[in-house]
Amino acid sequence: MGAPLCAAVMLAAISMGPKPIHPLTTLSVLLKHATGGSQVDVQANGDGEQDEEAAAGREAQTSETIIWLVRTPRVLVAAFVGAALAFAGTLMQGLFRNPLASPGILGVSAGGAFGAVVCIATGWAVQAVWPLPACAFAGALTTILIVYALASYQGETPLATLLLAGIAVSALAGSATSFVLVISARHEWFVAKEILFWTLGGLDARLWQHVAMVALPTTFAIVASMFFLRDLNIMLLGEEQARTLGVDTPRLKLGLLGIVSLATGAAVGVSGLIGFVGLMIPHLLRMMVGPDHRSLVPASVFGGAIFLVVTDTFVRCLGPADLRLGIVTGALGAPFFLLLLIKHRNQAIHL
Amino acid sequence: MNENTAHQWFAWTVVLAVVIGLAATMRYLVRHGARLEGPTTQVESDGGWPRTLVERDPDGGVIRRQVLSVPPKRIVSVSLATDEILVNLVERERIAALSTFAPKPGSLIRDRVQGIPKFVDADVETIIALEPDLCFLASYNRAETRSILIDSGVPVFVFHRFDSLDDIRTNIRTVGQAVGAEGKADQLISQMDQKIRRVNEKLPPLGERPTALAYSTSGWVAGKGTLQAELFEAAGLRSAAAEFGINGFAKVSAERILMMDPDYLVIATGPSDTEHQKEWLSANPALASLRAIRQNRYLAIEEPLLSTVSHRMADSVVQLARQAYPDRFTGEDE
Repeated sequence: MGAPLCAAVMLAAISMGPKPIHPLTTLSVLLKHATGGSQVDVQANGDGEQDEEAAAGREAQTSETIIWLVRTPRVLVAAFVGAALAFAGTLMQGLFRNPLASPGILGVSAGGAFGAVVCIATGWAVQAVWPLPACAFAGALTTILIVYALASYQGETPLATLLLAGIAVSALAGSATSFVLVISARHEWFVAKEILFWTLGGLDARLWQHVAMVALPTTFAIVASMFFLRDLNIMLLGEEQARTLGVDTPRLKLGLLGIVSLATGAAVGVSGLIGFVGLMIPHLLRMMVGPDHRSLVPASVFGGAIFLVVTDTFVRCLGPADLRLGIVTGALGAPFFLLLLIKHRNQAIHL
Repeated sequence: MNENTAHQWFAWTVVLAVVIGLAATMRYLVRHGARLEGPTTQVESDGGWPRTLVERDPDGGVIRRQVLSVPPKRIVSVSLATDEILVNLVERERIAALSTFAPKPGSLIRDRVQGIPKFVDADVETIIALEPDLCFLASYNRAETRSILIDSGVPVFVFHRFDSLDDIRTNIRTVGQAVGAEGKADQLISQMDQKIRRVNEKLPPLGERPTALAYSTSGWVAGKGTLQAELFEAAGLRSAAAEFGINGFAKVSAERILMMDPDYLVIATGPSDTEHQKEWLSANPALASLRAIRQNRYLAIEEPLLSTVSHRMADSVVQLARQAYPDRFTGEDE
């Protein structure tokens, strides 16, 4: 049910935007390109024909351009980023057995942000499309390697130590990011503005290259996680219990950390910092499908995709020009987080 | 060495590597500063049509060429700088959209945008929907925005930097070539140069010129290598920040302002805000001892004129010079 619903939501999202385009037009353009028509027919700087037929042709060309080059990549990136963050959040909450865990607690997001802002500050980001996501991804993976190296000892990686190392490295990356922002503002205000906007998260001007950059790692991570879900269910009983039941907990932790880092790093690389998706979506879906990760993870994938596509469509169509996606997810996530805290506090009191 | 010690060494090595890496990155950025070195566009033209927009990387290498078959008739501009130039070069009917800044109170062309059908920011879908045949982007606009517009067949002109009067002349000339208005562009440059020249003819020798500093509530000042420093120089003022050794834009403390102690304080505001700005400066006990405040030596200039990067800079030069040297510009209509 998740896949058809997700597809329907995405189709609706692609049809919506500042320029009114009929959903059937959207469908025909998508089918045309899906069946091999990969180029948008363009005529640059035509010779000034004014007749109605030419105008209609230009109108159709414009619609096709908007659908195929502007909206579809953006909606696909939103879907994969939402899926990656929700999926990573589900794994983190299962691994740490803590409902407040999210993909960012290991410093992956902060490290990715640092890599991205250095790229923006040095000017590489304006020269071509690939440097910014690549630097963000490199920053994210470097951070998790550092966190894992610091937290591991004699082949063991205690979860509490991992968490502390993640918080420490995250704080360091965060302060370094702020310092880069200050230095940038001193020299070139537009660079500082671009850094600020990136750290608030957003999906404007996403290209097909961004779709590839997030789709491949996310898909690989999701497929790879399937091999660990049974053991992750057993981990819910506790690490010691899991070991006595034959789970190779060090391998499980290493595998899941790698998968979470891959998915989160890919998402951060193409979207900036978008918070609370990895916290909210697993919770909501756990209430619907239960705690079994073999059903929860696929549900989170589709749930995260749908959530972020809907949110981004709202930002794109209804929000003011400068409204950033990370602001909206934060505004939705903060009350949810408070409710969670209150629920846990009340449960603890009643125990 | 036992395992515990080995692990501690390893952990500390990792920490040290991270700290060194971060320090090196920070040092590089502090020394070189943030940079906008995106591609820029030039026009290849033999005077006729078609013409070619040549996009070059910061090293001068050609990235792409885009052909303009005929003079563009649906021009979109997303920066105020190009807005100010375009409204002076082409007929209103040829402008499909200007930037969202154009009609706002801080714009120098707000009274000239009636009839412009649309005002846009750098949202690609909105721009594409206008079916432009030429789009002016700023160098700070995203590479992704540029890429989508080019992929959709829109010729894109990426603006050069605006760090000097020569840059302004180059940009006006290049825009004129791109839109087929070379004559008007040359006329615009000529008018700008003539205004500045007429001011320069009345200025005292270099050694007799006062220092000036534009200091706002934000605490930022403009030093050497900025357009503001060149504006001051053209208006017969020495930039106190540049002489103090500040390069580019910097946020400075009251202590440094006191050390600079400029002859004039330049206030960027509208006419009704001038007294408010003076009050703000005078109310700061640390700044009250500045000569410019004690002697009430202010140069007021509209904020859009202080920050303009178009031919309007000539008007900025005139406005500042007339206030700094009232006895040399009596009864003149510049």
